[in-house]
Amino acid sequence: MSLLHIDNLRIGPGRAAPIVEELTLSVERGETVGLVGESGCGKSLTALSIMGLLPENLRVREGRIRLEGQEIQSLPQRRLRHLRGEKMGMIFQEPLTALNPVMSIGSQITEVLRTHRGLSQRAARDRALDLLTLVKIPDAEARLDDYPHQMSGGMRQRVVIAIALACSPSLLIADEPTTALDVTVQAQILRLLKQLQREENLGLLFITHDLGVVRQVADRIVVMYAGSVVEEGRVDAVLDAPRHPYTAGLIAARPQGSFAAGTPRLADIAGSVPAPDARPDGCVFRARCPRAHPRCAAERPALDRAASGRAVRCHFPLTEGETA
Amino acid sequence: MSEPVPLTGTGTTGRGPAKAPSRRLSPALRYVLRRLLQAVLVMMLVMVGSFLLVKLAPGDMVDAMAGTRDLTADQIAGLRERYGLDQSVFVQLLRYMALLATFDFGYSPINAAPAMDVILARLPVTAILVVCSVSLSMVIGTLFGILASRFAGKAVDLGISMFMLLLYATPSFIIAILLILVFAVKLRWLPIAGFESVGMGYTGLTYLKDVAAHLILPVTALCTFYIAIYGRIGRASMLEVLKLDFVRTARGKGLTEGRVFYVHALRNALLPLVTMAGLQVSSLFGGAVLIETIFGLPGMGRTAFDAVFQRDTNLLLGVVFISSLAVVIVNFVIDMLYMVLDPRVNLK
Repeated sequence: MSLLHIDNLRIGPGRAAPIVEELTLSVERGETVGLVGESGCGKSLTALSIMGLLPENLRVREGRIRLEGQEIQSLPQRRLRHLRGEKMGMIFQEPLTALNPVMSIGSQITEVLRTHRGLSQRAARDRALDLLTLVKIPDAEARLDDYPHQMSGGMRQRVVIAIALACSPSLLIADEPTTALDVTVQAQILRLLKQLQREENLGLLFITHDLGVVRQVADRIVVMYAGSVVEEGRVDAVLDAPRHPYTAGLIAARPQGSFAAGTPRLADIAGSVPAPDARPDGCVFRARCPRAHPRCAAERPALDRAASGRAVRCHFPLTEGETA
Repeated sequence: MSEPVPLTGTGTTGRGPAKAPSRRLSPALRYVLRRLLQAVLVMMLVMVGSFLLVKLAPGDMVDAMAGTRDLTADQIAGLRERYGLDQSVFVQLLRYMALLATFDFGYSPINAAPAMDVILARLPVTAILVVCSVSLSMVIGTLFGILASRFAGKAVDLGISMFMLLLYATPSFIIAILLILVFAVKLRWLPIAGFESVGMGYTGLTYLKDVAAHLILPVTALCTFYIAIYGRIGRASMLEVLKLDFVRTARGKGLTEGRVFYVHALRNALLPLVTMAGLQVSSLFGGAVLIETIFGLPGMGRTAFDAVFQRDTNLLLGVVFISSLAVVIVNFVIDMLYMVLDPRVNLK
């Protein structure tokens, strides 16, 4: 039984076109899954739907989300509330605004423990101190009474992580946790997350648009395009030999990390991601795909799973050594 | 992102050597002193400005006296000399400021008493009126605002919004007259006007009850408009805060919706309401002329009104002084409240 299993998920507003569709995804205990895609492809919505925090106009229209075998997509908020913070924690993209500016760091951590564990103020404070030490905040004792504005972005993100881990959840969802941080701080936070994930045997769903980050932290990668999964597999396998032309395009568009003269211009993928109500029939990527074929317009490719855990949604996937 | 910089400089971060106790004043004391100096400057500017404005208007208090009594030109000149009105405006201003420095407002001819005594006798009426109206309207209005935001877009919200609009659009003097007609004339539950029942010789608790009964209607009339203001600001402010990222974090922690709402969002939404309270105190203090007149209350607004029409310069300037002082003090209190509510606000 997977820790988290999402099956054929469809998220959307009432009658209008769904934003996420046919999304299937699973995260095992102790595993890090990198969920990758361009902005607007539905990564964050997927995360919010797991937490039951979708914006009011959006809802899970179809499919199942199972956490430790329990179906949670249709649970009422009051039941879901007990899972949030207790069984699953979430780290958000903007550490600068993710904390309440008028509450001390300490009380923002202790309230989780008091809510879910019923700890006394004293016990919760002790545990909060342990947590700040766990996320490597120096001089943790003095920091408990600080307010968020007294901390840097990196420190605040550590506090957010401490809050998410307070009740030792089994699933941690990190939605672009390092995007808003300096590159050097980003590396520290990634290392910390990786270490905590190993120590606490967490299932980590790591959402990012940065393939470099994925290679650093993830065991498996799931690539999303326009609301559904287009490719999935072991990180090394997928990044070294992408099979979907979109994945290949993403990899080609990465900066190579060289300032030397003569470094070629960054490649890009022609065109842009279609809006949910403007997605074409057939393969949604075909308008931007160098390998498009009449069949791609006629028939939407299914997610084709191989025994190796590799999956690709393409009629004409790339073969080993081939480039898009 | 740089290393955290402790903005308050309280040394709580434990970085670097602890600051040695300095011979300089503590930040809090420095802050208070700076504010005090500012307050004195503001008061002086207000008084000079008001004095010059009054002098710009045609007619002085001797003209007003001459209008009610038969005075010869000699007598008039004598009075002008006696009150120093024959001097240049500049000399008059200097004399007045010197007088003010000793906390003397001068003589009020229409009351035939020192202006200070007149004002001190009327100050409690206005103070009670303002304090009751501000606290009541703020609490009730904020509650309405919170309730409306909690049920935003639903029937409750719509109902409250309509009610707020009604309170907002009805002038307070109309509400005052309606209240008098219903509760004093028709039902006879409450007295029509005045601050206390004259000639009853009440003391102790009976006296307090008597004053309270007299104040219910005027306070209500002064509240209605502001209840609407607080309600609307409160609702908008809550909805604004509820959209912020930290509210999502709070929900993500699995807190109860009540805690998310009343602990996380509300405290952040209070700042504009506190600001509004400051404005309300300023505008009610001396600005409640209509209500004071309708209910026959001897407050600051009516005192100012009478002083203007009878050219009682000293009394008018005295009222201006006290009102400005109240505004300065309230602003100081509001700034203190900001610091309590929002740790990001600094002693700067």
